[in-house]
Amino acid sequence: MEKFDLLKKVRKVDAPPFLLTRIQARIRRNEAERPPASWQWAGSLAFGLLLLLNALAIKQPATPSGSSDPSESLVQNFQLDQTNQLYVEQN
Amino acid sequence: MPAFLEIYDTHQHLVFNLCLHYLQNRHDAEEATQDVFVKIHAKLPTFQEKSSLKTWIYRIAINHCLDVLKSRRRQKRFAFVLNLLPGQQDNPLDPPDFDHPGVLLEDREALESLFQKINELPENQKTALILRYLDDLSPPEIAEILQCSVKAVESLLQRGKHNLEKKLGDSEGR
Repeated sequence: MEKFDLLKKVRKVDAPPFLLTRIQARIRRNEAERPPASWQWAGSLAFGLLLLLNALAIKQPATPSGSSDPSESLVQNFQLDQTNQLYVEQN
Repeated sequence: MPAFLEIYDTHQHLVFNLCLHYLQNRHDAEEATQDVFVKIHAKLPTFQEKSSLKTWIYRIAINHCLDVLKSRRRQKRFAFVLNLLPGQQDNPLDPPDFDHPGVLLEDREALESLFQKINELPENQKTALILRYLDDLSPPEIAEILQCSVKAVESLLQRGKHNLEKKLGDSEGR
């Protein structure tokens, strides 16, 4: 396979000398852009706390423990009339 | 950083040549070499020495080059779609020029067409051919890099050569 043997003619070349300087500059830039470890810890702690609060809120009953029916407490709080009479003649 | 500098000194030519073999463009290979060493620097603390350092570097470089080739294909498709739109005819469709500093001028034309055919092969066949015939690695070394058996590498080489012969035959027959 004559054409395939052409690959043997490809020579190895040296990497350009300026590459290391560019690589080091990019590494330094990446490190500067990365937030410090303390910020990363604070962020994960805040997120964890948020998850915990959400879990607690879901687990807790939505109504106060005193009354079981929310509409009942609403009627009591607003002193609503529970009859269907629109006009009540008060003595 | 000292460990990284040592790694760079030992492997810079290996990575640059590998990138050149995949991308066949000096500028793209320089960019890819930079990306590969930035990745190596970032991943170095997690290197577990399950394989040799050279094998690990090979894997990072190969994966990066294949990603670059994929992104080139995506850009080409995107440019093709853009070119269909009115008033958007200036988007380049062609891949970067063939610019391999390891190729002599007299062999340039023949090798450019050969590399073009290699680029059309499936990824694993292309990788096996590049590592065997351009990087002079043995089948066991290739097997370690590709994390497969030596038999699988030999089969990849066989199929790669067969497909390449077919493609070369087709282009000559036209």
